[in-house]
Amino acid sequence: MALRDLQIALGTRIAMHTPDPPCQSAPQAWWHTLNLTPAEQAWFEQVMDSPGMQLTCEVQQWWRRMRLQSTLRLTLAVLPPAQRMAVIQAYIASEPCMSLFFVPEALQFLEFVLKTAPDVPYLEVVARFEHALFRVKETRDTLACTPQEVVALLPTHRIGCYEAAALILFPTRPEWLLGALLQGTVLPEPDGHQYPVLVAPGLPHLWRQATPDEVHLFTVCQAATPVEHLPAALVNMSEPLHTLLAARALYVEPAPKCGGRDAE
Amino acid sequence: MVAFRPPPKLGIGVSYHPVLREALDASHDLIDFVEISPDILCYERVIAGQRQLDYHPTMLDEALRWIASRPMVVHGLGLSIGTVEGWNDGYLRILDRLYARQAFVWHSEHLGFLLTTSPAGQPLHAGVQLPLPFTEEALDVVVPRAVAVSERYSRPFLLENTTYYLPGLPADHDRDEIAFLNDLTTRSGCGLLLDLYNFHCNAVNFGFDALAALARLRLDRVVEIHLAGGVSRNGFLMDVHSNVVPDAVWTLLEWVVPRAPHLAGIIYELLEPALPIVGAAGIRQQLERARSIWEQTSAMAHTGGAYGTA
Repeated sequence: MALRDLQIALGTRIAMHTPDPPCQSAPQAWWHTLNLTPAEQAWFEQVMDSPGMQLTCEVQQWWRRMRLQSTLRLTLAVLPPAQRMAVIQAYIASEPCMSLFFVPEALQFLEFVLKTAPDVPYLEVVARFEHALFRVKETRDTLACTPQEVVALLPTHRIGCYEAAALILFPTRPEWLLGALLQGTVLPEPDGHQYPVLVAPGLPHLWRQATPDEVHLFTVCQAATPVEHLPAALVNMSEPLHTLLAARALYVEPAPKCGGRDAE
Repeated sequence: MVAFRPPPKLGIGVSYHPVLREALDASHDLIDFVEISPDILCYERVIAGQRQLDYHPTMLDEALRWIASRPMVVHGLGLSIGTVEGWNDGYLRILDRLYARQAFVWHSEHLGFLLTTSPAGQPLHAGVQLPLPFTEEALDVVVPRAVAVSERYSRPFLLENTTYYLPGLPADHDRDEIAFLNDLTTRSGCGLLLDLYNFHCNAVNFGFDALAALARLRLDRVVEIHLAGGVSRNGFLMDVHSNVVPDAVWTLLEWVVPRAPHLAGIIYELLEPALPIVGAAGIRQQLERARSIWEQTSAMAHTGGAYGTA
């Protein structure tokens, strides 16, 4: 169907943002593989580098920049002003638009930052933290059930981590770093210690510092593990288990029945 | 085709956004109805290639509380009714949930497409509404969908003319945008959301006489009018809902209102980043002027001629 292919041509061209000179001159330019009528192909070749096409691309980019600047208070604040727009532009040029929504755009940007890892102090930890915050916020808002209370832990029970929960190691006191970012003041220096921060949907403010026992238990339970396979010391650690359950960082589930069906 | 059923006349309205609530409260006495875009009250996730929308648990409640007893209409953003490979089902599911919660008087969407694929078949989101060509093939895609959406809720469904910046869109049978809109509303029975600022932008950008074009439009299918302002960039007038309504658009409104017998409402649109530019006082001025035109001329609506007279 020609209209389908015309839409593919337009969508692909806008995703490119800028013209691809080598492609244009090639006898088998990418749009030649599409099922366009001769009139449509002629029209597309006429408009693909037109001022109107350039403006259409710019409108899309403007919306994407606006979504990021409205949403990413922490990660963008870590980037020096001179570098901020360059990173945003690099992201827009590299990663296609996938949504009109703010959070998917923000998550995609944060994943780009973590992948490309610009050498900026605190960028990785803040990007991971902000990514985790967005994910647990969505999880919190869509979770239907209340936090688990486990009265008696059976050896066959399994303990695992909620997918959205995260443990992030800050190289300086997190409240000082985040406060400085939000207020635009000088960032604290790393002090040689690590400060583990738990991000989980059941926490009142979605994050807090984690205790060493919580760090140990959360780390060990990254993959759902039967209680009988956990170190005995962890089995007896009822307080961190309960606090992590209450935070919706961990869950406890019965062992699956024989035949692969989970118990009700 | 569904039978065109003009809805009751509502008057002057605003587009709801949480950020604009306080500014809109300052014009509380001028607002007859509220237009809501359910998309902005949702999360979106893409699961197994399918877009899934879920309402934020409190945003919908807050919106409906703010709307209170005023009539509500819907203006969707993400349906992508013109995508050949299929529209966004996720949008219709949230509209189903909204309709079950609170009925709307009419609903609308953009005449265009957002979703497509790459040549290799990977999903692509254009990130901006793209126009449809003025062809039979485009009508063959959109007309049955407009009928389906109309029948889904038994409420009038409108399609909105959009701004576009690509010259010489493919067309057949010498069809232009006006002829395309007329064929669409005639064949489907749906109504038209006439965005006068979009119309004005296209007229300026492509050099046609807006009033002469409007005179050819099926004004008897115009149910709602959108007003907005924007900016110029690179020689184009852009529809970014970022300013007060320009004089040229007020002129178009004054011309259209008495000639659109089934016009039921006029909305002033403003995007939240533009609130510092326009301000609560600016919003009020736009609503006052729209109301003045509505009250002075709506009673004089012409009904003679095929589609309304010049």
